[in-house]
Amino acid sequence: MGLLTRLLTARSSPVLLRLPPYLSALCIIAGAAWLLVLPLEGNPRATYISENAILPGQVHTYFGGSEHNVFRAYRQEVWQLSQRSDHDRIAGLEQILQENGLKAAAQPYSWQVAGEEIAGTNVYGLIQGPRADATEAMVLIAAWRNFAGDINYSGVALVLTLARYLKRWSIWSKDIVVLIPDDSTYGPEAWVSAYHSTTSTVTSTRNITSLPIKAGALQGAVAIDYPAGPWGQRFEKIDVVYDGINGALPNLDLLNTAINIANNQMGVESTLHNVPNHQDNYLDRLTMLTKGLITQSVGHATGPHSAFMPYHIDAITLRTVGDGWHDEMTLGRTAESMIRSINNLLEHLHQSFFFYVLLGPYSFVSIGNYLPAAVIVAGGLTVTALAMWIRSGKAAPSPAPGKKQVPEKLEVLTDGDVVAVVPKSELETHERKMFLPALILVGVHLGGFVPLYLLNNISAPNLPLTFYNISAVTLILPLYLATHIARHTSPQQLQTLQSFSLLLLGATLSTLATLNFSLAFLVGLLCSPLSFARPLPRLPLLQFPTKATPTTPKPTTDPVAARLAISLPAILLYIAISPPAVLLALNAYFGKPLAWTLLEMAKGWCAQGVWTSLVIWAVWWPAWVVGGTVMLSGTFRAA
Amino acid sequence: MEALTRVYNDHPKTLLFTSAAVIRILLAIAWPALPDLLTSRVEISTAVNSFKRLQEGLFLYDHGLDPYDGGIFHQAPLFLPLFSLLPSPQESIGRLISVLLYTALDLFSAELLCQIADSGAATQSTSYTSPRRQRTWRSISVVAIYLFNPYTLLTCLGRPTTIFTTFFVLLSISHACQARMATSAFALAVASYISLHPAFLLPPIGVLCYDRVCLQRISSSSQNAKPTTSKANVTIDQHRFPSALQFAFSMLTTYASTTALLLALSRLLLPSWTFIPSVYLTPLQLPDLTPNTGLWWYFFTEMFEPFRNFFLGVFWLHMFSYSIPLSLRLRKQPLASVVLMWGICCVLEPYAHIGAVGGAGSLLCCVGHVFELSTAHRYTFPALAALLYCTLLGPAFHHLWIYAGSGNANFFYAITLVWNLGLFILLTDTLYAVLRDEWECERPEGKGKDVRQI
Repeated sequence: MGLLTRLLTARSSPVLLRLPPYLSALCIIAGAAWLLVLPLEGNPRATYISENAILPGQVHTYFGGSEHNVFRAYRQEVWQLSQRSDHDRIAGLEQILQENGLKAAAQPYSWQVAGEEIAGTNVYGLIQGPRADATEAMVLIAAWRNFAGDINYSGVALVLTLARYLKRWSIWSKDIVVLIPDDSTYGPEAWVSAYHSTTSTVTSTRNITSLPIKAGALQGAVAIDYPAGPWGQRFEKIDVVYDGINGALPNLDLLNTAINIANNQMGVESTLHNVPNHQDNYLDRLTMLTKGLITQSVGHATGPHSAFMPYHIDAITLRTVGDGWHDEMTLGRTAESMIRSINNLLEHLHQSFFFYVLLGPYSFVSIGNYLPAAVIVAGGLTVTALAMWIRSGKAAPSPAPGKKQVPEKLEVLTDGDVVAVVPKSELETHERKMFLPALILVGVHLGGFVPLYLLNNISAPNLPLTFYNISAVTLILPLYLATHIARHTSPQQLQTLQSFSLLLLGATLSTLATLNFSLAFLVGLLCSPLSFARPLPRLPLLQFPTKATPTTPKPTTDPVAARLAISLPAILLYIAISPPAVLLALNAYFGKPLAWTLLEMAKGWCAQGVWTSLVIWAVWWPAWVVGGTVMLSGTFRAA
Repeated sequence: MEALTRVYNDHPKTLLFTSAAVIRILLAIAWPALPDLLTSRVEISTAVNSFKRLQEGLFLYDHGLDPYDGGIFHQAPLFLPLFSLLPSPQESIGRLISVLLYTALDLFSAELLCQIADSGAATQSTSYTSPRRQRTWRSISVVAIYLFNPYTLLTCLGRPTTIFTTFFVLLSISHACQARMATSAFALAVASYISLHPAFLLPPIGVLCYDRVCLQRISSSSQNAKPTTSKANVTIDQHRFPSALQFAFSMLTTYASTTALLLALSRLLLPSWTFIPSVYLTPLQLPDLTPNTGLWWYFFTEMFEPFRNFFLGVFWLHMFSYSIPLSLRLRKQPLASVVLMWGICCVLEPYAHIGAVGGAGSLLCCVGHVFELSTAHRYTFPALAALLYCTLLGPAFHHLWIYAGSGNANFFYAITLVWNLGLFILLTDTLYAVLRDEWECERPEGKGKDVRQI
């Protein structure tokens, strides 16, 4: 209690009131530095298998020998199928699965996104495990087209061979679903969403057929991406792809199992994020961390496995890389061994971490060590929000010069016989007018849904134009708000507005950090300058003529040049951290056409259920607009 | 825009009520799936108020079965004939009608809040007049806070039956403020018939009502006497006051007879008395441990069976233990004690949900005149910020636990702890402010000073 009282007393100390900007800056620097410290020697932990039931690589794999001939035949068959029409191809794949004794079915699906159609047909078959009671299943996937868009000849052939091979074993305690989706992103999405829904309602934008055959709860999924052509191609490494939609990650045990089996049992080097020759030094770990951060923050699918993550199914993709001496049978045996490991599971993968950042195939940091980075950054925003709130409660220096001449107003309080004289300033808490700031805040946040709606509903050819228009409006909006609002609001209301905005941003980012750490961290860093936004000095050059206000010429101490020197960099920085500017810059950096990026984003929002657009337009964008309004309100303030 | 401003200045209440209704109906029309989604949220629907469970009860009732047989439905029996009049909410028209019903209920509650705020009961009682009565919040602000806060808004679309509890509690308070004992006791009896725990409001509401009755006598006598000087209440003739004992007795009688009437009515509708254990033992014994925003479920999940009954008793006693002391200590400001007690009930009730918080939070604004004390000397802003964080983090952690499978129950429970802590801080800060308002009247030299423990 004593401590609490002392804290309460301390908050009126002038030092504490001046501290927040420094504290906030410290938070941002500490948050950014935190990530740089993570890859340092000693911080990352070595990966380990936490679930004892998995027993990775403990079984002998028998996939080989004559199966190789079968594989080569199927590879030829797949090539033949690729020459035929889509319809014949689907029928052919279904027939192969049926000939191998699987229950097979096809599932057509389609989406309408941005005036374009995403359509295809998934083919899948079910191996009913001899020891299974149809309550659990695992999935083996080879998409017809891999993530890069090439036909996955060897991958599909390998999965067909494996289907034939696995069917003959009697050890399966879970059913095995062999899934050949049409493409690597939307096919699995359609399949897994139909798998988990009882009814499928057809809407104008989404038409997913329900599945005629289902098995039990899916326990894990392994996808194979091996696009070598009909004459085969040996590979050098296996790249394990693990990022799910919206930054969800598979249980670390599954990932470790894949790496363990590939490296130790098969002798194939495995990589993550396609970082070659990971030497386990600081720079490599940092590269890995950065790549993981970017992939996770985008939140889009990274392979056929991604669609499974939102349904709490751990899934990974094994992607072959390079030109080496490992043949397709090694990949087949890796897949076989993985299926055996998943088959061993007694319960859903839960032992190991769901939140981690990988720094190399064998090292990771867990949530407790990396989450503070994002939370500190978000905390920095909250600190400023608190400071702004306190400051808005202090009465502004009274603009009327007449009042200042009275040094201290004394208030006489009487109560019965007791009379006390108290300085008036002590009694006054400045009443905050919160209605207008709250209204503006709600309005700007609702406004964020306009670009979100437009960018996800306008047809593809018009997307870049729409984006440029939105960018222009975005840049003008703070200016407009500043000129129109600054006349009606007191500085105090602006402080309240900024306080609310930063508080909401901090809270949203903290929440987001638990769902998608990378996105929260990056948006937090980009928004962090907003906590330093203060009304800029007034620029008479830009002053709109205000009618009917007798302007009293005030002695200006600082010349216009000095004001410009402050304002210009601030405004430039402000524009640089705007959502459209950052999107354009990222686009240019990765060398993708804008139309492509925008279409992918629309597809992600409409078909994959990616929330990144929502974060950009409904969290980041409103905070940015409010920050700019506060900043520019100074420039246009009436004299 | 100017027309709007003019309308706002002339009829602010009309504008507020209209826009509140329009928002609710528009949300239900624009996103038809939203009401059902909210109905299934644990933050809004609990075992004793869920709209979904009500449908189950209705189905059994309509088919002539005992609605309490299924073990799912635990709500007051009188809801059954009311809701069986409405078309099935499975269809869009039925859903819209149910949303309309709840919207109307929200508007009525808002009107009651307006009456409470306008009555001046917050700042004036027989023995005390707050020096801050100029700072009383305008009733329109209180109404706006009630109608537009996201908790009330989402709860309205989620349609839990506890909105009726809030309505009847507000009705009881507003009638108490108007010194109408009988209707106040009647409304409180209905509220506790629905939810049980509003019964704890009986002492504070009794004190409030008694105080208002006395105040009415004073003002009528002073009017009768002659035009008074500025000091109207120099002498108060205590003999004019009705006897407190008699008052308490008649209030209790009204309360008890209304309850008996309601229970008898319920029995008439139903084939047996099974509704009594199903409706009233469910909050008392907490058989359903579905997570909610309250403090009970996790605690009793972890509880060893032999201690269960003991701790159930402790938890209920704890909630009750505030009722009488608050009404005694705050007898000079009886409305404050009602407001605070209702807030405490909303935090400590066994099946807590955010709808109650929306109502109690708005009711708290009726004592808005003392908020300057709590913001200046206490932690109001940090507590509100904590509530904001919890509002966002709660659903996220629930998602991680239930859907993504990457979190566990502790995530959600931790957030509900912080949420309740934030609410408690708000309540204790208000209590501090209310008491200090009284204290400053006695010790004006202490105004604006920080409190120190000596």
